[in-house]
Amino acid sequence: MRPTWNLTRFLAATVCAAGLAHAQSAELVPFFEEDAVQPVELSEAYEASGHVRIEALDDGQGGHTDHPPYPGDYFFGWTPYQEEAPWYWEIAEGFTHAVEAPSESLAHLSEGLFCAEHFHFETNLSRMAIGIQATPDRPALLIEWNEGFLAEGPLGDHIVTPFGATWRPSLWVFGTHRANFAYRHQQGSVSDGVSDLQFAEISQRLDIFAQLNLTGTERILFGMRPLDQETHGPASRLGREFNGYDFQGGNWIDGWNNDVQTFFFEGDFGEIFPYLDYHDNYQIDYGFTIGRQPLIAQQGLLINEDMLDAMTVTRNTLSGNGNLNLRMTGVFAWNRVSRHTQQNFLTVRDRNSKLFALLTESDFKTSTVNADVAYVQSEDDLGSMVSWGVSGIQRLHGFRNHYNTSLHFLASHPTSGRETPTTGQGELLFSRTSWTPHHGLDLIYVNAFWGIDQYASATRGPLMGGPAGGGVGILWAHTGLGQYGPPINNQTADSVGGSVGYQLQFDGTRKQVIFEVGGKASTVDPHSDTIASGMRYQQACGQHNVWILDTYVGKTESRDVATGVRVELLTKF
Amino acid sequence: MNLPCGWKRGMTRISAAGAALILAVAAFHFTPRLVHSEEAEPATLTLSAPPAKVVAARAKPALLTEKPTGHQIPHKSEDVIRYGADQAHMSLFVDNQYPSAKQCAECHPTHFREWSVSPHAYAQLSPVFNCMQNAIKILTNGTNNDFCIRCHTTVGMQLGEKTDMSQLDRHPTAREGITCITCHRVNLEYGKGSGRRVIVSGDITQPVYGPLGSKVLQQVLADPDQYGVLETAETGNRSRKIHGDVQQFFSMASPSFCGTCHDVFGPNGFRLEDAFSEYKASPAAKEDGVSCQDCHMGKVAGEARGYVVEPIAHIGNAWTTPRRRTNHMMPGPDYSILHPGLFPHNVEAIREEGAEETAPGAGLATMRQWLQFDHEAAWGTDQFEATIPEGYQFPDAWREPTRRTEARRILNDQFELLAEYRQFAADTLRAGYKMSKITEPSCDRSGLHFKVKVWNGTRGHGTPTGFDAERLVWLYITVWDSTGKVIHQSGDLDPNGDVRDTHSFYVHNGKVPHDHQLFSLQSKFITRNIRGGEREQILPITFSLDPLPFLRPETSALNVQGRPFAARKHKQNIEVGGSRWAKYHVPTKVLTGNGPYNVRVQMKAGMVPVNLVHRISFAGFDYGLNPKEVARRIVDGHHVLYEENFVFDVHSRSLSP
Repeated sequence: MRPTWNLTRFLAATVCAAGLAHAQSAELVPFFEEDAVQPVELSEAYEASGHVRIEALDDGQGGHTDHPPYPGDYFFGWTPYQEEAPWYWEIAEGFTHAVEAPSESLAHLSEGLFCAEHFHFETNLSRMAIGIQATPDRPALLIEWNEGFLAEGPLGDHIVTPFGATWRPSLWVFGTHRANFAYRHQQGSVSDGVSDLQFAEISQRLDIFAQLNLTGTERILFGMRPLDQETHGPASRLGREFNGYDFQGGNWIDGWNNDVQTFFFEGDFGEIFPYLDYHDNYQIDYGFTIGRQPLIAQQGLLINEDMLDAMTVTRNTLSGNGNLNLRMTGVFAWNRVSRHTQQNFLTVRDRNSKLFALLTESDFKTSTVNADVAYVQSEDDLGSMVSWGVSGIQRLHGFRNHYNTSLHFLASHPTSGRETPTTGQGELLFSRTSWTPHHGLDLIYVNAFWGIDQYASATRGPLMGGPAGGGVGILWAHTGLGQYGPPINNQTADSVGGSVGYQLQFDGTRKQVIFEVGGKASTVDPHSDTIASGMRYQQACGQHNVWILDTYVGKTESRDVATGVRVELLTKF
Repeated sequence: MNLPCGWKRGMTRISAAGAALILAVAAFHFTPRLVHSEEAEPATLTLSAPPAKVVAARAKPALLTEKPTGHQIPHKSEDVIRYGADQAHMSLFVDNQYPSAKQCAECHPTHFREWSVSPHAYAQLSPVFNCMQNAIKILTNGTNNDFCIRCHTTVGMQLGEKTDMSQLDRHPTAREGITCITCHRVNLEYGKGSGRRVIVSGDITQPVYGPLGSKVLQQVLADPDQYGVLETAETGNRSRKIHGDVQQFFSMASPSFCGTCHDVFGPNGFRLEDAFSEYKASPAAKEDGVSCQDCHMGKVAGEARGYVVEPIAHIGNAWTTPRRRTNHMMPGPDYSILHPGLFPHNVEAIREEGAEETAPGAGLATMRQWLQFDHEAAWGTDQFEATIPEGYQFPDAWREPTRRTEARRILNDQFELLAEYRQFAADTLRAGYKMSKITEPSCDRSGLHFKVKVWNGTRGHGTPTGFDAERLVWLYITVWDSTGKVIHQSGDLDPNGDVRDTHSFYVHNGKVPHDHQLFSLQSKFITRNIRGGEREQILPITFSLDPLPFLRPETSALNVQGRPFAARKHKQNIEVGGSRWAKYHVPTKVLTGNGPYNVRVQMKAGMVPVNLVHRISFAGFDYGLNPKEVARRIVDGHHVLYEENFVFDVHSRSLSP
């Protein structure tokens, strides 16, 4: 009964959202209170010549060539009206207005703290001709053989395959390096017998890739992470150990490895064999991949795996019946499906399981809908299960602003006849809302989730944590570097949680500050409720580097205050 | 990793210490801000020496050889040689390797005329395109580099020209964009390659490639009495040069040939345009067997009604024997906002910088001089020349009345050709978009109601297609009362010239209300936020996720996700066989009581929205244009595709009919 009831709630919420989106039949009132209805007197020729009059206006007589200030003289002499918001929008936008209120103060505070200018767009087009501005030179890749990556100049040497395709094999090596210093302190609780957690470390990570590029659609990608190694703890518990130094323990951490992280081929059947469809009359352009690859579905809520041995087949750009752009991908994965348990926060490698998935994404007129299902078949005690998810991503046009929304509903069902730690029965409702205040590119977000019972993702990689890690807030996400875990536990089983955040842009968009507060409450254990607040400052430096400063303070019900700070230098090449 | 234990430990310590050192050094190191200003420094502009010249001066000279080794050519030593070389001679040399369309025009005047006003011919000259690609390059820290421009000037990129050069300084053939040799010197299947295909170099006497082969050419070469003595690659110097062979390359007649540039997806998997993919899934491909060329190069613009049968060349004083001839105008949603002296391409108009005025084939004026010619002031017309006010100042190049008169004669031809193109472009758009009459009119206590249906008129792709995230097609509604007072509008423009959608800077900044009834078919770029889902943006740059957007190959499979993690396009066009209803409501409050009320619905089309101009303007426009002027010309070029009128015969606010 429970899934049915939850589905009903989900549908009800969806209908409400759709209702809000399409409620556009409100009465009109003048946009500016001081403006009464002031229609424009049109010329006498109008009634005689109909649309010619309006065309004359379209030619920009008056307002067009000499830009008028608003609201005195609107573009073509007509004052638009602000429709009167219906009551539900009044309430909703009253809430968003209240949430938005601190952003200006935070912007002023950040301007002082970081000596940066808050970014905003001018409304009017400039009349100043500035000429072509110089552009930065192309940052070359580490290795470019045969043909440069998006480089001017002659293209590389080619070969013509026996099937008629022209390939220009080119080797490109690129990646990112991350290094950070992190400190974290969480006081224990004498009453609960929890000891202090404290560490300070330097750690680093290198993601390096070599791509043998053949065409625009065919390539072989090879990737390694030589400075952080996947580790196998007791009972195949997965983790990653990062090269660095642990100040607390006074020891060097060894993460060196030569494990293959990524190694796959992808291509398009129709492009590999162009002679099979010489006149382009057949639909043989199936995309496919085979090999070890990362995979994400439902924005990481259903599948979030960084290393999956899989084979996929994809059809793209299908349309019909209101569907504007459908992509469908069939996935078969074997050998190393990571299974995640929310009870012990463990990720284990299930070498005897297989994953079958069907992933779809469709654009409709107002929404993008993802509908995905995955079946994990396991031959050992971890159990088999079905996980599925449906989501709608859309923008709702309010009356003060417009709002980015996404609503996900996910569920998992064990199929082995019993629940295991990795095959929970449960549902997850996940909502994300954000908007950009007037004048700039800032962002305000309000995200929330409700985990009912033990929802389990089909597969999650060792650093991905729980389903809340990717989407709720920066306080919930693992940094992917060292031991600096998320300030708020990112498991979603039997809990509700949410975050409110402000991302502010400075000096164009090259300096950013994010303020966030978040909290989580368990629906079964009142002693594990957590609240935290954090700040991130990130700044682009030159063409390759990003500085990141993270800090937080948090409090869990049964423990004292926890604090953490980290500084990271991220280099892209 | 199976390494000796001591070595491993040592490496571990060194690398960790290295990381610490990097952090420590970097902590004191504040790299100067990259050239990335949203509010670029203004510069004084004179048309005789536009600031673009400064940029152009940094550009590498044209290449001595077709394909030197390495990518960062030319090398230092080559630089010295090149700068010391005779520029005119070098230009001639490169000219020979990449013949200009003007050389082709000599024998193919009809093809040239059609092409000269086409979107292909405009592709690289477009100030909006160039500004946009420079803006994206700046915002992606240089990493997007030639991704956009590779399609727009394959010749320029093959020559190694810089992406941010002024068009005034480019090689003449590079400036021509999708010129003759961009297609007719391609002899391999490149597939969906986002324009990265090789033009076979060689002077005008070298073979070209075409779908039908050399039958007509062989007739010409075999008949010197009629066509004259011609020079090919196999003959010695003769009076007239001609390509020696037309090698059959059937793929040129296949849709996949178009798909090389009209299915645009980045190395990170971002699907910018997918016109070809749409076509492959369409009934036109599956059931009708109709190709891109059938509709866009045939007798009737936008419809598969066959091809004209005409001579394809005029050699000596004779036309060749008639055969199927494709139309190379390929009209579409783009239109020129350039000075009419610069576009359409005109053999008589443009003289290259440094060329002698009296040189054979030299045009009337350089591009810089044309930019000084005030055609809007009617220079060169009889009326103007007869009434020039005393003391009127002309630039040096246009002091001579005879030059102004000659310029006017050229411009009259240009205007005629532009008008012809505009008609064909509108026909093409009308083939793609269909609009019903105003239907289901009604009135009640809440006001007036009516609907309009819009549907896709093609069987080959969605409408809009291609660059659909920046194609503006919308309905403009006007309601006025019997006194002529406008009481209601939707689809009207804000002071910048934008419709009042969420991309309008007036709407975004809260200065005018959002047009809730707006019917628009523009797709939207969507970028992922650091949290809070995704949002629409004018440019698909992922600022929120990353203060340093940096384009590199995607590290997950491109086709599984169909897009990169951080950006995508939400298609909002009309699919093949699909339709949309636009529903309108005129509220009682705005009714004046002076009925009857007239309703007019227009379907309008613009090549790009003005907000794009606003967003990219920090990168600067070529030709001395400012953003306001660019916007004005874009708005002036809006097409009105359809118009429907209706009268609500109600006479009072109570809405009794």
